[in-house]
Amino acid sequence: MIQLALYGKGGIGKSTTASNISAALAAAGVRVMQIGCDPKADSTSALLGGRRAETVIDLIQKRGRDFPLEDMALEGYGGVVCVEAGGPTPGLGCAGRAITAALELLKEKGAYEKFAPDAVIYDVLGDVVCGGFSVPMRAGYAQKVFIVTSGENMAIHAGANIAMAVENFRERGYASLGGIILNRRNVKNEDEKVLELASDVGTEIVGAIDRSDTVQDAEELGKTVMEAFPDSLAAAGYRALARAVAARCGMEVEL
Amino acid sequence: MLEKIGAKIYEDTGVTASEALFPEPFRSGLEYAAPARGMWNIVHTGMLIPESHQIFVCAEGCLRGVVLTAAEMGAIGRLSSVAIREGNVLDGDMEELIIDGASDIIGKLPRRPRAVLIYTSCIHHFMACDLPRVYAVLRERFPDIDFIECFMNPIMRKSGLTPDQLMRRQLYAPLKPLPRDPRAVNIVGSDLPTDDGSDLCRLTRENGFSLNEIARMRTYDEYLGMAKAFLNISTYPSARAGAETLSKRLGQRHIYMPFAFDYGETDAEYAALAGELGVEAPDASAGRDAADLALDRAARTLGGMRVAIDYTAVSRPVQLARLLSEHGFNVTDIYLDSVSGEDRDAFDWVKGNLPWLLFHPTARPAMRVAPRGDGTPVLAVGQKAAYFTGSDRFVNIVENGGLHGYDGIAKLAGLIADAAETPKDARALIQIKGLGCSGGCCV
Amino acid sequence: MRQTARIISVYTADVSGVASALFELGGMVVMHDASGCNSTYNTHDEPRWYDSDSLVFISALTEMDAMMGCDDKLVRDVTEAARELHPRFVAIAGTPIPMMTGTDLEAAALRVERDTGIPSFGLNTNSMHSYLSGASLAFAAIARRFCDGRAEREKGSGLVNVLGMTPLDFSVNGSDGSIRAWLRENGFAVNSVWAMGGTLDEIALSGRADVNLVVSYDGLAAARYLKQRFGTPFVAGVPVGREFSRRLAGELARAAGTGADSAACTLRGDAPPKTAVIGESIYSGSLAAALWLQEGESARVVCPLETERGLLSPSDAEAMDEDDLIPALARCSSVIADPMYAPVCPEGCSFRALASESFSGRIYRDGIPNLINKKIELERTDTK
Repeated sequence: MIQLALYGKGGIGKSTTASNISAALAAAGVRVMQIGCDPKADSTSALLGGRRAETVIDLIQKRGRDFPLEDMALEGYGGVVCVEAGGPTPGLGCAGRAITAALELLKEKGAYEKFAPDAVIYDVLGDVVCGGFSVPMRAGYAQKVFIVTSGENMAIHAGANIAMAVENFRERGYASLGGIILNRRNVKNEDEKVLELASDVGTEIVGAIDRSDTVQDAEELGKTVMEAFPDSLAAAGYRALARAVAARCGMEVEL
Repeated sequence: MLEKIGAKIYEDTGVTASEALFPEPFRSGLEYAAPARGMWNIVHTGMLIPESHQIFVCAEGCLRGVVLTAAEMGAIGRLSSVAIREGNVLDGDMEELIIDGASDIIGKLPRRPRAVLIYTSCIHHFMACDLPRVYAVLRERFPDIDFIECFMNPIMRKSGLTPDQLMRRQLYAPLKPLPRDPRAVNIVGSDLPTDDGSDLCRLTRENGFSLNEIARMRTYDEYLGMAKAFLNISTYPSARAGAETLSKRLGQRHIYMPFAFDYGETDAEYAALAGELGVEAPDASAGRDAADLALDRAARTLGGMRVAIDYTAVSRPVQLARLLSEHGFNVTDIYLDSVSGEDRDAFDWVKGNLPWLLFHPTARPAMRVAPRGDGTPVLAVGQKAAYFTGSDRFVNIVENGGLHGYDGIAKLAGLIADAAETPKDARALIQIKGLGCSGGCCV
Repeated sequence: MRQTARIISVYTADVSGVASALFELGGMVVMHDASGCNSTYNTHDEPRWYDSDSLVFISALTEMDAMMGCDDKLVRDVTEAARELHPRFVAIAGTPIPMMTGTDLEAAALRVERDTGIPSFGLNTNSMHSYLSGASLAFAAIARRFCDGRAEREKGSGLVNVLGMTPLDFSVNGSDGSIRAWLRENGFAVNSVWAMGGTLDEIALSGRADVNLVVSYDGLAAARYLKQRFGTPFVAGVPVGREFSRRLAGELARAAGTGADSAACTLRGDAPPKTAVIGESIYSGSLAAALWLQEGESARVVCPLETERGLLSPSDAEAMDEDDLIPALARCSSVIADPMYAPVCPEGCSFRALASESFSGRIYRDGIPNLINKKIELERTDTK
């Protein structure tokens, strides 16, 4: 089982990227579990065609801890197992604790054994601000962290921050940096800037997704590109990215 | 000036059995803590491991209660602390604080402990402190010490195992697999030693089995030796989960035998135990007769005196109420904040047969000001019942008092009769923490 | 290492300080924390608990409530209790998890007040500071909410408020009564004592006082507020020992006349100190001063709690942790401290036990002497 986590600046396209990678892998016969680690709980919405997974935290609030594992997951496009951690509304409570509690419960209920995914993708919210948000990259969870960025300064800055955190955690045996995913916004010198980031933090660009209307169109349909426009250039891009990301994690997939 | 608020009747200080709902007869909200402190806390329980040292890592306010618990039981030399300050929360160096603090303390101890219980706190959960890493580092640094992961995390009491259940589970974490001794039996998860005269102790010992429990272990090696038993018995409700985990881990059998006040249940439990031991089921009639005799005698001694029972004395207060009532006692009040599953049947019986019996909360805010006693004599079973009824005739036990089986019922009846005849100073007695903990408690 | 204690105790925390300060004033104190956390206060920090009906409760915070920021539940529960029990005010005190999640207790209190009409306030304690911080916040809040403009400073009246009086510093051995008696003997009249043996109504008229006596660090914030609001000067000191008590009475009169504050507790001898007094700065400083005046014993204060430089003399030291304390005591031949400090005193030094409920709780309660306006006689033992 490979486990990888996507981090990056809020709004940079992590969820879109994660969902499309999941869908691409699923289409190639890989059993995928995608876990949204964000109180907004919208990571997997494109895989669920309008359905909304009840978040783990919602379930705990309503039913304590005594509910079947299956209630925590919805099967989405391509058989991707979709889980959302959930958390508090903005400005209240502790989202970091919510992520931690949700992931602990998944483990406690044996989700990894029961769903037996070949690949687990953690989609972690924008700015990592406290301990709880680093749980997806800890021992027992993701082995590789991929940073999603564009050439915009804020995104690069956030990416550098995350890379620094990963480096700080190195001696703890946490996830290592798998690479950078370039989500192009077509800003000036985008490739060069992201290449520089990669070089600075000692990694490589593992794949790039061109800016395209196809991605927007798929979003309007509430679907992934892989589902809505499987023959598009954008879909090909995601397939290549999925293959590269999986390879970085030690899984060779024909896509 | 301090003034007693008058004799106003407050809502939510009592509900008749006929109206009470299972499992929560009362609303939840703010909570009050009565000054009855006999039940054991995690410090008392942790101290049961011989040759061990405790290190608490938490905010100073949280440390206070545990440090003084240790001091009052004469065991301040076995408890150290690491105070979390605001800077640690902001810097996020929580793991280093535990590692460095524990290392510093261990280095200063006059004698190397065999086990160190590290109690982390609520804030460690919220800060997503990487505890597995902390323990991995400490175990590598001090390979001669068994580190036990303990928790002082009351905020998590509705999140899985309660802190009490967790403590009783972790208490046996250092036990490692040993060659099986088919004649060795343990009682696990209880704070107090089980009474030697109890049916449980007699059945096992008289059939040639050794019976161990942590309260009787004098050395660490003796305690580790509990792993050789083929059978673990748990008798206290919050001990059950931990006993099951331990037994599974070590490949031991496990049987749960709560102190029941229902004769049918008692017979079934002992038959099951006999089955596990491979011996004939005991003939319960003599024990039963003795229990009946003691109960009837006590009922006569009380002569209709009101009886109030609480959940701190026995883990099945409602079942006890039923048993006593069926033997002619005038049970009028039960003090509890929720009704346990084990008391469900008794609760339904009480609803039907003692509809005017009053259930009272112990934690609702109004209990702070509700009048304590109305002058009529009450025999209180338990410290909270004594406090809330203002009675000086009370049975001063906690957590079933080590009693079990028919012998336990007979002895409890005896304690009730004694209590009726001999007044006790409730104020002096109920404020002592950890009734029966080793080293005595000085206040 | 900082922040670790191998063997010594730990002081009462700020949340308990709030409850202790407000205990007798007819209000309701709510500790916003998990179930059971209030029993530390009830058992170890409040000698008045068993016999009184003072309203101190815990909110029984759970992981889910904290994680999801369920402040509505807190407001609902507090409002319900307040409606049933009719306290004169409501104080909601914070603890580590609410601090971490940034819970706005002041906002919660505002909602309670709006719903019940009962004056309510939130206090940002977090269990990581001592009782002095908490009690200080509580007294200051009372000052702001209740010491209203109806009162005016009555110069020359000899009226005094005593600020910072809790059993955590003074136990329940009659010290509060002795301070009142001492004031009367010296020609003063007691307006109020914050907050033992008196009422909220007396405290509300604190603006009348000629001068204020601050007997613990936790009374200082309220004293400063009263100074700013009513112009009342204050003197920091506890009337312990006969000679120092006389001196302090003189300081009080002088302050009343001149309007200038003073820290009488900083008086020390000029000989190098061989005795260390460990404890809260105003009480310990007053004791050091009293020993000097009584028998020429030169002592320094080693203060493990919050204080200010202005309350310490140059020879005094601050030592928050066990590891700071041990070197600070190294050259002492005599220590006066709570018995639970004995294990960290230098070998061969003479130890005089003076227990404080804020440190050892109820363990030595019966032996805590009332030193107010009396000769100081403490039994010496030798530390092994």
